[in-house]
Amino acid sequence: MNRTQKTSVGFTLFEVLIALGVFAVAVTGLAIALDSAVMAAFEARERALARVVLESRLSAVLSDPPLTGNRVIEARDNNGVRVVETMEQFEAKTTNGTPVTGLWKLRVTADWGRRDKGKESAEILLFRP
Amino acid sequence: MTGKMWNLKCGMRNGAPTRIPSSFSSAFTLFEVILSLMILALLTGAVYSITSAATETSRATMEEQLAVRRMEAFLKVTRDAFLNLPRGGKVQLRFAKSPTGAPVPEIVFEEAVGLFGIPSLGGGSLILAARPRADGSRTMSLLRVPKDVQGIDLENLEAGNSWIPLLPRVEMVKWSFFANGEWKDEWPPENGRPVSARLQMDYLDMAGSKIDSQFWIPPVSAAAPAPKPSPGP
Repeated sequence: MNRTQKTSVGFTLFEVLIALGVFAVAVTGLAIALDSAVMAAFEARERALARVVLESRLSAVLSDPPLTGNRVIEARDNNGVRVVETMEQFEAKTTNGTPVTGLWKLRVTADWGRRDKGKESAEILLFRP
Repeated sequence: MTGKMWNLKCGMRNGAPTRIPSSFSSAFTLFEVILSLMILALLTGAVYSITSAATETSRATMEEQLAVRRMEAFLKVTRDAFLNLPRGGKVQLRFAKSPTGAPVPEIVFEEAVGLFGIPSLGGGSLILAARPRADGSRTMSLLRVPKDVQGIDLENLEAGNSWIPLLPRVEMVKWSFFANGEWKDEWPPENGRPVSARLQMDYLDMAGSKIDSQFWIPPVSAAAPAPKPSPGP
Protein backbone atom coordinates (compact mmCIF):
# COMPACT_ATOMS: atom_id res chain seq x y z
CA MET A 1 0.00 0.00 0.00
CA ASN A 2 2.81 2.41 0.87
CA ARG A 3 4.51 1.66 -2.38
CA THR A 4 1.46 2.35 -4.52
CA GLN A 5 0.98 5.77 -2.82
CA LYS A 6 4.56 6.77 -3.60
CA THR A 7 4.26 6.00 -7.32
CA SER A 8 0.70 7.40 -7.66
CA VAL A 9 0.32 9.29 -10.95
CA GLY A 10 -0.43 12.93 -10.05
CA PHE A 11 1.13 16.30 -10.80
CA THR A 12 3.60 17.72 -8.40
CA LEU A 13 3.18 21.25 -7.14
CA PHE A 14 6.16 22.27 -9.27
CA GLU A 15 4.55 20.97 -12.46
CA VAL A 16 1.29 22.74 -11.71
CA LEU A 17 3.15 25.97 -11.05
CA ILE A 18 5.07 25.66 -14.34
CA ALA A 19 1.84 25.06 -16.24
CA LEU A 20 0.15 28.03 -14.58
CA GLY A 21 3.19 30.18 -15.35
CA VAL A 22 3.14 29.25 -19.04
CA PHE A 23 -0.58 29.97 -19.19
CA ALA A 24 -0.11 33.33 -17.47
CA VAL A 25 2.64 34.33 -19.92
CA ALA A 26 0.46 33.41 -22.89
CA VAL A 27 -2.56 35.33 -21.55
CA THR A 28 -0.40 38.35 -20.70
CA GLY A 29 1.01 38.35 -24.21
CA LEU A 30 -2.47 38.33 -25.71
CA ALA A 31 -3.61 41.10 -23.38
CA ILE A 32 -0.60 43.25 -24.29
CA ALA A 33 -1.26 42.68 -28.02
CA LEU A 34 -4.88 43.71 -27.53
CA ASP A 35 -3.88 46.79 -25.57
CA SER A 36 -1.37 47.88 -28.20
CA ALA A 37 -4.04 47.49 -30.90
CA VAL A 38 -6.36 49.77 -28.94
CA MET A 39 -3.54 52.28 -28.41
CA ALA A 40 -2.69 52.22 -32.11
CA ALA A 41 -6.31 52.97 -33.02
CA PHE A 42 -6.39 55.81 -30.51
CA GLU A 43 -3.17 57.28 -31.89
CA ALA A 44 -4.52 57.01 -35.44
CA ARG A 45 -7.56 59.02 -34.37
CA GLU A 46 -5.35 61.67 -32.75
CA ARG A 47 -3.23 61.86 -35.89
CA ALA A 48 -6.31 62.24 -38.10
CA LEU A 49 -7.65 65.04 -35.91
CA ALA A 50 -4.25 66.73 -35.93
CA ARG A 51 -4.19 66.53 -39.72
CA VAL A 52 -7.59 68.23 -39.82
CA VAL A 53 -6.20 70.99 -37.60
CA LEU A 54 -3.10 71.29 -39.79
CA GLU A 55 -5.09 71.65 -43.01
CA SER A 56 -7.48 74.03 -41.33
CA ARG A 57 -4.64 76.26 -40.08
CA LEU A 58 -3.02 76.10 -43.50
CA SER A 59 -6.24 77.53 -44.92
CA ALA A 60 -6.45 80.08 -42.13
CA VAL A 61 -2.92 81.49 -42.56
CA LEU A 62 -3.61 82.14 -46.22
CA SER A 63 -6.25 84.72 -45.33
CA ASP A 64 -4.73 85.74 -41.98
CA PRO A 65 -0.92 85.31 -42.13
CA PRO A 66 1.20 85.71 -38.97
CA LEU A 67 2.53 89.14 -39.89
CA THR A 68 4.78 89.34 -36.82
CA GLY A 69 6.58 86.27 -38.13
CA ASN A 70 5.47 83.83 -35.47
CA ARG A 71 2.20 82.71 -33.93
CA VAL A 72 1.60 79.93 -31.41
CA ILE A 73 -1.75 78.35 -30.57
CA GLU A 74 -1.49 76.37 -27.37
CA ALA A 75 -2.82 72.83 -27.16
CA ARG A 76 -5.43 73.55 -24.51
CA ASP A 77 -7.16 76.07 -26.78
CA ASN A 78 -7.04 73.80 -29.80
CA ASN A 79 -8.35 70.29 -29.03
CA GLY A 80 -4.99 69.14 -27.71
CA VAL A 81 -3.01 70.13 -30.80
CA ARG A 82 -0.28 72.75 -30.45
CA VAL A 83 0.21 74.80 -33.59
CA VAL A 84 3.18 77.00 -34.46
CA GLU A 85 2.89 79.21 -37.52
CA THR A 86 5.86 81.02 -38.95
CA MET A 87 6.24 83.36 -41.87
CA GLU A 88 9.58 84.22 -43.44
CA GLN A 89 10.80 85.81 -46.61
CA PHE A 90 11.42 83.34 -49.36
CA GLU A 91 14.41 83.89 -51.59
CA ALA A 92 13.70 83.08 -55.18
CA LYS A 93 15.23 84.07 -58.46
CA THR A 94 13.86 84.07 -61.93
CA THR A 95 15.66 82.15 -64.64
CA ASN A 96 17.68 85.23 -65.64
CA GLY A 97 18.84 85.82 -62.07
CA THR A 98 16.70 88.71 -60.89
CA PRO A 99 15.35 88.17 -57.36
CA VAL A 100 11.59 87.79 -56.95
CA THR A 101 10.24 89.95 -54.16
CA GLY A 102 7.06 89.52 -52.19
CA LEU A 103 7.26 85.76 -51.77
CA TRP A 104 6.71 84.48 -48.25
CA LYS A 105 7.04 80.99 -46.92
CA LEU A 106 4.29 80.07 -44.50
CA ARG A 107 5.02 77.04 -42.34
CA VAL A 108 2.50 75.43 -40.02
CA THR A 109 3.72 72.85 -37.51
CA ALA A 110 1.34 70.81 -35.39
CA ASP A 111 2.38 68.61 -32.49
CA TRP A 112 0.07 66.60 -30.33
CA GLY A 113 -0.17 63.77 -27.85
CA ARG A 114 1.67 63.19 -24.60
CA ARG A 115 5.41 63.97 -24.71
CA ASP A 116 4.90 65.47 -28.18
CA LYS A 117 4.42 62.05 -29.69
CA GLY A 118 3.26 63.28 -33.04
CA LYS A 119 4.55 66.09 -35.14
CA GLU A 120 3.66 67.12 -38.64
CA SER A 121 4.26 70.23 -40.64
CA ALA A 122 3.27 71.75 -43.92
CA GLU A 123 4.35 74.82 -45.80
CA ILE A 124 3.05 76.94 -48.58
CA LEU A 125 4.30 79.93 -50.52
CA LEU A 126 2.32 83.14 -50.42
CA PHE A 127 2.71 86.08 -52.76
CA ARG A 128 2.24 89.24 -50.76
CA PRO A 129 4.02 92.22 -52.33
CA MET B 1 -18.19 -16.73 -15.67
CA THR B 2 -17.07 -13.31 -14.47
CA GLY B 3 -17.10 -14.36 -10.91
CA LYS B 4 -14.82 -17.16 -11.76
CA MET B 5 -12.53 -14.78 -13.63
CA TRP B 6 -12.31 -12.38 -10.66
CA ASN B 7 -11.65 -15.25 -8.38
CA LEU B 8 -8.99 -16.49 -10.66
CA LYS B 9 -7.34 -13.12 -11.03
CA CYS B 10 -7.43 -11.76 -7.54
CA GLY B 11 -7.46 -14.98 -5.79
CA MET B 12 -9.17 -15.67 -2.55
CA ARG B 13 -7.67 -14.48 0.67
CA ASN B 14 -8.72 -16.34 3.69
CA GLY B 15 -11.50 -17.74 1.62
CA ALA B 16 -13.32 -14.38 1.12
CA PRO B 17 -13.34 -12.31 -2.10
CA THR B 18 -11.33 -9.05 -1.78
CA ARG B 19 -12.00 -5.66 -3.45
CA ILE B 20 -9.69 -4.56 -6.15
CA PRO B 21 -7.21 -2.07 -4.67
CA SER B 22 -8.16 1.42 -5.89
CA SER B 23 -4.60 2.30 -6.85
CA PHE B 24 -4.69 -0.44 -9.46
CA SER B 25 -7.82 0.93 -11.20
CA SER B 26 -7.17 2.72 -14.48
CA ALA B 27 -10.21 5.10 -14.33
CA PHE B 28 -10.66 8.63 -12.93
CA THR B 29 -12.69 9.24 -9.86
CA LEU B 30 -15.74 11.47 -10.01
CA PHE B 31 -13.84 14.18 -8.15
CA GLU B 32 -11.02 14.18 -10.69
CA VAL B 33 -13.43 14.39 -13.61
CA ILE B 34 -15.34 17.28 -12.04
CA LEU B 35 -12.10 19.07 -11.26
CA SER B 36 -10.81 18.65 -14.81
CA LEU B 37 -14.14 19.79 -16.25
CA MET B 38 -14.03 22.90 -14.11
CA ILE B 39 -10.48 23.69 -15.21
CA LEU B 40 -11.51 23.11 -18.82
CA ALA B 41 -14.49 25.43 -18.35
CA LEU B 42 -12.27 28.12 -16.85
CA LEU B 43 -9.74 27.86 -19.66
CA THR B 44 -12.48 27.91 -22.31
CA GLY B 45 -14.03 30.94 -20.67
CA ALA B 46 -10.70 32.75 -20.62
CA VAL B 47 -9.98 31.93 -24.26
CA TYR B 48 -13.51 32.91 -25.28
CA SER B 49 -13.35 36.26 -23.52
CA ILE B 50 -9.95 37.04 -25.02
CA THR B 51 -11.12 36.06 -28.51
CA SER B 52 -14.32 38.06 -28.27
CA ALA B 53 -12.40 41.06 -26.95
CA ALA B 54 -9.95 40.77 -29.86
CA THR B 55 -12.78 40.50 -32.38
CA GLU B 56 -14.58 43.44 -30.85
CA THR B 57 -11.39 45.50 -30.87
CA SER B 58 -10.67 44.78 -34.51
CA ARG B 59 -14.27 45.58 -35.45
CA ALA B 60 -14.15 48.86 -33.53
CA THR B 61 -10.79 49.70 -35.10
CA MET B 62 -12.10 49.07 -38.59
CA GLU B 63 -15.19 51.18 -37.94
CA GLU B 64 -13.00 53.92 -36.56
CA GLN B 65 -10.76 53.87 -39.62
CA LEU B 66 -13.82 53.98 -41.85
CA ALA B 67 -15.17 56.93 -39.87
CA VAL B 68 -11.83 58.74 -40.15
CA ARG B 69 -11.72 58.17 -43.88
CA ARG B 70 -15.31 59.35 -44.31
CA MET B 71 -14.57 62.53 -42.37
CA GLU B 72 -11.36 63.24 -44.29
CA ALA B 73 -13.08 62.64 -47.61
CA PHE B 74 -15.93 64.96 -46.64
CA LEU B 75 -13.54 67.70 -45.55
CA LYS B 76 -11.55 67.26 -48.75
CA VAL B 77 -14.53 67.63 -51.10
CA THR B 78 -15.78 70.60 -49.08
CA ARG B 79 -12.32 72.23 -49.11
CA ASP B 80 -12.07 71.63 -52.86
CA ALA B 81 -15.54 73.10 -53.36
CA PHE B 82 -14.52 76.35 -51.67
CA LEU B 83 -11.12 76.37 -53.41
CA ASN B 84 -12.70 75.87 -56.82
CA LEU B 85 -15.54 78.33 -56.34
CA PRO B 86 -15.66 80.04 -59.71
CA ARG B 87 -15.44 83.77 -60.18
CA GLY B 88 -19.16 84.23 -60.52
CA GLY B 89 -19.99 81.67 -57.86
CA LYS B 90 -21.94 82.79 -54.81
CA VAL B 91 -21.97 81.39 -51.30
CA GLN B 92 -24.88 81.86 -48.97
CA LEU B 93 -25.78 80.54 -45.53
CA ARG B 94 -29.44 80.10 -44.70
CA PHE B 95 -31.43 78.23 -42.11
CA ALA B 96 -34.24 75.92 -43.16
CA LYS B 97 -36.66 74.38 -40.69
CA SER B 98 -36.66 70.66 -40.03
CA PRO B 99 -40.04 68.88 -39.52
CA THR B 100 -39.47 69.20 -35.76
CA GLY B 101 -38.72 72.90 -36.05
CA ALA B 102 -34.97 72.71 -35.46
CA PRO B 103 -32.88 74.99 -37.65
CA VAL B 104 -31.04 73.25 -40.49
CA PRO B 105 -27.97 75.20 -41.60
CA GLU B 106 -27.68 75.15 -45.37
CA ILE B 107 -24.83 76.42 -47.50
CA VAL B 108 -25.97 77.30 -50.99
CA PHE B 109 -23.40 77.38 -53.78
CA GLU B 110 -24.93 79.29 -56.64
CA GLU B 111 -23.67 79.37 -60.20
CA ALA B 112 -20.94 76.98 -59.19
CA VAL B 113 -19.77 74.56 -61.81
CA GLY B 114 -18.60 71.09 -61.06
CA LEU B 115 -18.22 71.33 -57.29
CA PHE B 116 -18.37 68.12 -55.25
CA GLY B 117 -17.80 66.24 -58.47
CA ILE B 118 -21.33 67.01 -59.65
CA PRO B 119 -21.56 68.29 -63.22
CA SER B 120 -23.34 71.60 -63.53
CA LEU B 121 -25.57 70.64 -66.47
CA GLY B 122 -26.19 74.30 -67.25
CA GLY B 123 -26.33 76.31 -64.04
CA GLY B 124 -28.35 75.62 -60.97
CA SER B 125 -27.08 75.46 -57.42
CA LEU B 126 -25.86 73.02 -54.83
CA ILE B 127 -27.13 72.90 -51.25
CA LEU B 128 -24.95 71.47 -48.49
CA ALA B 129 -27.20 70.96 -45.48
CA ALA B 130 -26.95 69.36 -42.05
CA ARG B 131 -30.15 67.33 -42.33
CA PRO B 132 -31.69 65.81 -39.22
CA ARG B 133 -31.75 62.03 -38.81
CA ALA B 134 -34.18 59.86 -36.91
CA ASP B 135 -31.73 59.38 -34.02
CA GLY B 136 -31.38 63.11 -33.40
CA SER B 137 -28.01 63.61 -35.06
CA ARG B 138 -27.43 65.21 -38.44
CA THR B 139 -26.18 64.07 -41.82
CA MET B 140 -24.23 66.44 -44.02
CA SER B 141 -26.03 66.02 -47.33
CA LEU B 142 -25.86 67.54 -50.75
CA LEU B 143 -28.69 68.42 -53.11
CA ARG B 144 -28.39 69.55 -56.69
CA VAL B 145 -31.06 72.02 -57.71
CA PRO B 146 -31.38 72.48 -61.48
CA LYS B 147 -31.57 76.01 -62.78
CA ASP B 148 -35.24 76.56 -63.43
CA VAL B 149 -36.78 74.68 -60.53
CA GLN B 150 -38.90 77.00 -58.43
CA GLY B 151 -41.92 77.16 -56.16
CA ILE B 152 -43.68 73.91 -55.40
CA ASP B 153 -41.25 71.93 -57.53
CA LEU B 154 -38.35 73.22 -55.43
CA GLU B 155 -40.20 72.33 -52.20
CA ASN B 156 -40.87 68.84 -53.47
CA LEU B 157 -37.25 68.46 -54.48
CA GLU B 158 -36.03 69.60 -51.06
CA ALA B 159 -38.46 67.28 -49.27
CA GLY B 160 -37.68 64.34 -51.50
CA ASN B 161 -35.07 61.64 -51.62
CA SER B 162 -32.64 63.40 -53.95
CA TRP B 163 -30.24 64.30 -51.14
CA ILE B 164 -26.83 62.67 -51.35
CA PRO B 165 -25.54 61.81 -47.87
CA LEU B 166 -21.91 62.83 -47.46
CA LEU B 167 -21.16 62.49 -43.74
CA PRO B 168 -23.57 60.84 -41.30
CA ARG B 169 -23.82 61.28 -37.53
CA VAL B 170 -22.66 64.78 -36.84
CA GLU B 171 -24.01 67.22 -34.27
CA MET B 172 -23.81 70.91 -33.35
CA VAL B 173 -23.06 71.98 -36.90
CA LYS B 174 -22.06 75.62 -37.06
CA TRP B 175 -20.86 77.56 -40.07
CA SER B 176 -19.18 80.93 -39.88
CA PHE B 177 -17.60 83.20 -42.42
CA PHE B 178 -14.62 85.52 -42.24
CA ALA B 179 -14.57 88.90 -43.87
CA ASN B 180 -13.24 92.35 -42.93
CA GLY B 181 -11.34 90.95 -39.96
CA GLU B 182 -14.21 89.26 -38.13
CA TRP B 183 -16.16 86.01 -38.05
CA LYS B 184 -19.85 86.19 -38.82
CA ASP B 185 -22.47 83.57 -38.05
CA GLU B 186 -24.74 84.77 -40.84
CA TRP B 187 -23.95 85.13 -44.48
CA PRO B 188 -26.79 86.47 -46.60
CA PRO B 189 -26.31 86.48 -50.37
CA GLU B 190 -25.63 90.22 -50.57
CA ASN B 191 -22.43 89.79 -48.50
CA GLY B 192 -20.68 88.50 -51.59
CA ARG B 193 -17.59 86.35 -51.48
CA PRO B 194 -16.16 85.56 -48.03
CA VAL B 195 -12.42 85.31 -47.35
CA SER B 196 -12.74 81.99 -45.60
CA ALA B 197 -15.38 79.68 -44.20
CA ARG B 198 -15.29 77.69 -41.01
CA LEU B 199 -17.15 74.54 -40.07
CA GLN B 200 -17.45 73.41 -36.47
CA MET B 201 -19.20 70.18 -35.54
CA ASP B 202 -19.09 67.13 -33.30
CA TYR B 203 -18.48 63.88 -35.13
CA LEU B 204 -20.21 61.04 -33.27
CA ASP B 205 -18.49 58.21 -35.17
CA MET B 206 -15.18 59.41 -33.74
CA ALA B 207 -16.42 59.49 -30.15
CA GLY B 208 -17.85 62.98 -30.53
CA SER B 209 -14.52 64.51 -31.57
CA LYS B 210 -14.81 68.21 -32.19
CA ILE B 211 -14.04 69.02 -35.80
CA ASP B 212 -13.05 72.61 -36.48
CA SER B 213 -12.00 73.21 -40.05
CA GLN B 214 -11.39 76.36 -42.00
CA PHE B 215 -11.67 76.57 -45.74
CA TRP B 216 -9.90 79.15 -47.81
CA ILE B 217 -11.78 80.83 -50.61
CA PRO B 218 -9.37 82.32 -53.15
CA PRO B 219 -10.01 86.02 -53.62
CA VAL B 220 -11.15 87.17 -57.03
CA SER B 221 -10.80 90.81 -57.87
CA ALA B 222 -13.62 92.34 -59.82
CA ALA B 223 -11.18 93.80 -62.32
CA ALA B 224 -9.62 90.44 -63.16
CA PRO B 225 -10.28 89.57 -66.76
CA ALA B 226 -12.32 86.51 -67.44
CA PRO B 227 -10.14 83.61 -68.59
CA LYS B 228 -9.89 83.54 -72.34
CA PRO B 229 -10.28 80.29 -74.17
CA SER B 230 -6.86 79.12 -75.21
CA PRO B 231 -6.18 79.63 -78.91
CA GLY B 232 -6.52 76.54 -80.96
CA PRO B 233 -3.47 74.77 -82.30
